Amino acid sequence: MINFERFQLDNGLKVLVHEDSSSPLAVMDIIYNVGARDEDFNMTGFAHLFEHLMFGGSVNIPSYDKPIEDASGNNNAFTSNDLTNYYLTIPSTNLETGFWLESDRMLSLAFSEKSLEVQRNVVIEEYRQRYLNQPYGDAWLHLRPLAYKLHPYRWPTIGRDIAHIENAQMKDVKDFFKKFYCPANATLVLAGDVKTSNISKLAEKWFGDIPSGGKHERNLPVEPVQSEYRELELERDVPVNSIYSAYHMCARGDSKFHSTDLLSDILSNGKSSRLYCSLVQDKKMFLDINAYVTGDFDAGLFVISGKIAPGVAFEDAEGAIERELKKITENVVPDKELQKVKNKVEASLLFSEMNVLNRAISLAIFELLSKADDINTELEKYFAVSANDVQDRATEIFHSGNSSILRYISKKK
Amino acid sequence: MSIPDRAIAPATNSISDISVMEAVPFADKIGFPAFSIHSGSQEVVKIEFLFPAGLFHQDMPFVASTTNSMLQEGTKSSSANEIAKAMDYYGSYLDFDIGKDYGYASLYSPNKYLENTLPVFADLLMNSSIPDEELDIYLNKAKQNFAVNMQKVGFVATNKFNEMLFGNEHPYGKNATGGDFDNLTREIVENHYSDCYQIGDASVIISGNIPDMLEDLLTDQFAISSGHTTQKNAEKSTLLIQTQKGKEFVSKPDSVQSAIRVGRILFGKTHPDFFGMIVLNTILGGYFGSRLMANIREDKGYTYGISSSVNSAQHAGYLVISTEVGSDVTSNTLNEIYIELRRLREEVVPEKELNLVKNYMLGAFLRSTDGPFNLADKFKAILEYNLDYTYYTQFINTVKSITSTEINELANKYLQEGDFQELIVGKS
Repeated sequence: MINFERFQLDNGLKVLVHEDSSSPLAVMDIIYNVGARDEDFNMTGFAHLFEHLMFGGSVNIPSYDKPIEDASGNNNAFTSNDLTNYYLTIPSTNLETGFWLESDRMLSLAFSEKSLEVQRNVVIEEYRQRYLNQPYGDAWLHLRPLAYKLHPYRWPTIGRDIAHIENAQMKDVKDFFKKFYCPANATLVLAGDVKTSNISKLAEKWFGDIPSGGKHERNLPVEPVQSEYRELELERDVPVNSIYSAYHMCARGDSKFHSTDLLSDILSNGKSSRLYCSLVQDKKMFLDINAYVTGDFDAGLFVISGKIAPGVAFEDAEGAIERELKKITENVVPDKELQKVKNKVEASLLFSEMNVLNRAISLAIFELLSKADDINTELEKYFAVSANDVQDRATEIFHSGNSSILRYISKKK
Repeated sequence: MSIPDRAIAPATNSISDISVMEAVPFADKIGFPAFSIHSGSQEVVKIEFLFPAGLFHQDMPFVASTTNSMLQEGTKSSSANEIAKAMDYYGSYLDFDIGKDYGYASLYSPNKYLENTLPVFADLLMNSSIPDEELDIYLNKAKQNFAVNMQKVGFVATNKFNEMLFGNEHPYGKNATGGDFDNLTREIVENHYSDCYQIGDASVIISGNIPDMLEDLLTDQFAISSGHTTQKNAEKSTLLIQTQKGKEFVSKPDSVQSAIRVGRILFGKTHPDFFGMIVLNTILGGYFGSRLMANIREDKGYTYGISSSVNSAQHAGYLVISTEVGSDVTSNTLNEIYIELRRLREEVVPEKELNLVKNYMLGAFLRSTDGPFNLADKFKAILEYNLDYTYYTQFINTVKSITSTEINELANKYLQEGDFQELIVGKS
């Protein structure tokens, strides 16, 4: 259970406060309702590039990082297809430094040409380091446009073409800021050694005079229902063959999400899971195998990916996966197995909620997804899933017309 | 409502007191050292065992990591699958790891299931049977993973640089190849297990919201005879570190980035200059605003990240600068690295920068003591070197009191270019 209070400033900024004075640290988290899905098809990777630019100085403060470090804090940020999230941890006595910095960059950035030029290069190096210079690093660059034909999930947060980053102009940066970075499009979360009474004063003082801005109304294309089996083969200089199999599934906020998530846990969470026991341990057809849900805010993907054991043909490996999927489609999951994955969800919530920063980020994400209060009913929703629900999800999801397969073929140069 | 003056930073306070909650002895009836840190509100615990089973204790590559990983793969009375089922059903998980000196095994368990999970954990630590079939599966997977990793310039660089620092004869520096997996037999792994995983040689750290029943439960599971103290590796402590001076290049023709390592042998945690070097290293490359990051990422945009670190093991310490940069800017980056080392030797660090680093380091220390598992790690870091909590008091005192002049003296003593080794892995 995560307790919190909420209020809203006149300019539309939502503020959540979670008090926990067990340590002298405070966490400040700001989530902006913008992600890679909000990008133009011809200017992808921009939300993430913009995240980098948020550290290049704001209208009244030349450096973001230095004052945080000088106040004994640290900070970071991440961008996903759905959202952009900024967070800092700081001794609670210095929390006002966080308000000063975060409010100033919400007010306006410095828009320095130097910062744009440098961060373009940094992001290009990030692209090389994480996507090009890693074995299997480009798999998702190809899997996304195979599974999505219309929805902007067809490109990754780094962008679908690095030229988009190379060509980013200051005017684009300013437009993006104006469109998405404003109180009406953000939620502020304070957590740790904080008091709501004090936070309401600080929030009003630092954020109260920032113009509301327009709330961005999202109007994204709906991905058409897939009706044909899709496949793609890539040849790369990698040691072993790999397979990525993606099926369309519901959105994170859908009532079917929890049963779908448990379905993926039954298949591959832990060494007692079905795919591991059957395909790695027993049949030795895979070196490793995973099933997981992307958990995207719009309709997402259920992915099965694995490294195929040397000497095993793709055909046989895929057939073996299909037999496991058929089994879970045709037979109800035993109670004990369902209870096992529920216990795992319960425990992983316990462990993740040990950390105040995790709690703050979760509150922010749930507030954006639906409402922060929903975080406290998640466990109930998992517990309420029946074996029949799991079987229904398997039936809905696992059919060839709903699947996109990427075969990543090992080819020695 | 008053409009704030945004040009003026709010006042801040430097951290004055940091009290680290200390571990206390636990379950004194078991035959090896046990410690506890009772903290946190979630009803969970972590139980971490340390064995003298790290890289230093292996006679050939991959023995230490294989033995460590095989702990969960079957005992005299339970199969790998039975162990996995029990852990998964009770929402618990196991974590295994090896370092340069120690092998680690951890259980994370909700308190309400400890009676179910602790006996399984105790069994796998004390009665590992290393089944042939599971060993084969593990070795196949590890061999392929190693082949995948060898395609990453960063992985190749880290291994090669250890060899350059310590020499190929020293267990810290032995540079393995995929073929080394083929020399591993069940017998070798079993011998390593019986040499290095004697429960009498272990230490255990328990952290979390520890329930009262755990002390009896632990005593029941581990009430054993006296300690064992392995003698096998006594002769190894005299092994010489044979640093290969100079520069090396490993070719990866298809690479779009080069991995760079620049570093040197240093000393362990008890050396009088150790804490000062931690401060100097932080200025150089130990935080986001460091000299290396400010220059090579934030000014030049050559890399996604660059860092330096001071590392210590029982038998050696070292400093290493690491980065991955665009192939076309490899030599520019190296130039800038040496410029930053020279600046630290030739120019005194400005007071403002040193103060910022001090404030940053005290904050980082405070965060590193937040929560029971972090507190356990803090204790582990001194337990492994037979130190006590005065180590941290001295560290904090050094951070607070060190001067720019002292930093400059350290830079001249330890950041001489001629003492550094350099490695590039990438396109020529």
